[in-house]
Amino acid sequence: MIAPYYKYGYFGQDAALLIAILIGFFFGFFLGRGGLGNARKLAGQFYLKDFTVIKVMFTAIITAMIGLNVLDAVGLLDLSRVYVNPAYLIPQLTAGVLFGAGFVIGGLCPGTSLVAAATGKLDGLVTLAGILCGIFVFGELFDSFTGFLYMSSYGQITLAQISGLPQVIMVILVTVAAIVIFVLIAKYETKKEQTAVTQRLKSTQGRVLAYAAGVGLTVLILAQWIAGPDEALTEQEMSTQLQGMITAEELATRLMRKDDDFVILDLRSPRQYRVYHIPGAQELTGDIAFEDKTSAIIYTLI
Amino acid sequence: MKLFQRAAKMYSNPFLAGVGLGLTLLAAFVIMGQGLGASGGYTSLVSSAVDLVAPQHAQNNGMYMAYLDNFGRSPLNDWVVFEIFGILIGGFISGLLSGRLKSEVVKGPRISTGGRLILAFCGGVLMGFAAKIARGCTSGLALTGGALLSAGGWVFMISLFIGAFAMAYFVRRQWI
Repeated sequence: MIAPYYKYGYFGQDAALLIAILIGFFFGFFLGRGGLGNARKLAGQFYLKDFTVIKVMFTAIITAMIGLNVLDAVGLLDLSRVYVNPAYLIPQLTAGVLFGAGFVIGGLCPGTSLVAAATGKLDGLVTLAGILCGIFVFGELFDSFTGFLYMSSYGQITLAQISGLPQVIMVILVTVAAIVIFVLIAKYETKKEQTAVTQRLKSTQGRVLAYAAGVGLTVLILAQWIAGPDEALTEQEMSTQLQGMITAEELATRLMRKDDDFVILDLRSPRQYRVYHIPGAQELTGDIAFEDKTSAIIYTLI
Repeated sequence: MKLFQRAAKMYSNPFLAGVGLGLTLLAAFVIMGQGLGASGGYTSLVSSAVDLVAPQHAQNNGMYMAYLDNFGRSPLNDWVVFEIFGILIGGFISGLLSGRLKSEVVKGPRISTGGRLILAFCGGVLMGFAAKIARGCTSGLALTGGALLSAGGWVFMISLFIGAFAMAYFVRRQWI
């Protein structure tokens, strides 16, 4: 039994139509599973934010391509009886650019808009309506530009035939190219993720550090206030409490020296901050830039 | 439903989905001797609709007649029409199993729903028109032709990416 089975007459048209539904089922299923029923994931490809399109599409292409050529090589399939899309190179080049523009405008393609519509996405249904209209407009204009439509016709020509390379070399070349693309994507994604994580860590670390220090300082001063000035602290206790603290004089000196290895954080209310703050001090509201700083100086009102 | 929801991970690994898609495409080649498609099925439906409303008009038109003649004037003889019916069911079941069934408009945060739908329609018109010039869309030409190493398929695929990247800047508000 040699494939393609339909072309060798192993079953008739009725069975073929049933098989069509089954094959369509798996087509739709895997498109949805891969995330290609989501316009934002698809469009994300063209902003280098989401590489699902390239990953799913190229994996599918090399899987089917290798399968076809292996089956052909071992004699289970006659590749020459598989229908190859005919080449009309100039119309296809032009149409590709138009289609690509339409793809990023609409976010879904003819197959994926159906999957989107099937899962309740209204934009999928509207894209589908647009596609039907586009086909109708083309149909109405068809007879007026057949000259362009049929130019540069090369028949069912393949890349192997055009380049003169053996089919197996072409298969290997395409597979290697796809793997190289996957590796480049993986590298790009790792790099982006690392940057994002570092930034998140930096800002979180900064915030935690500042809050902890602020709370610690406040507790310290509050404790001292509750204990009251009457209960004299021993010199020993005093020096313990003042560890890690900075006097106004010292801060002023460092500011005048224009040292930049520290950040100053203002723990007071935003209103108080607006009225006055130590030059260069930052509010504890947004992200604090901690890069290259060795220490944080925190002050507040008690 | 509980069972489905517990297992719900909205999408699978793209490479895994790609292998599934590739094996589906391979099955189409092996069983039928042709690949997958989508826009061809829509063309059958459009041609039949025109034939239904204005048979005279359809008969005088090269494209409608090509499709109508091919399938004995009924879309129910067209393989791809049945295949896109399968896509609809498969897409639905896959959404059901992984919790993706939700009535919504998918868009970026910086565009209104109406704006998104207008652009979706315009993009659709452009794609429908272009797919007819190319004799296929992403499924029937880029994916199918890509696996067959069809020269037309690869030219279309590469120019598709060029067109999309070139256009992306102008519609960025819709997505990012």
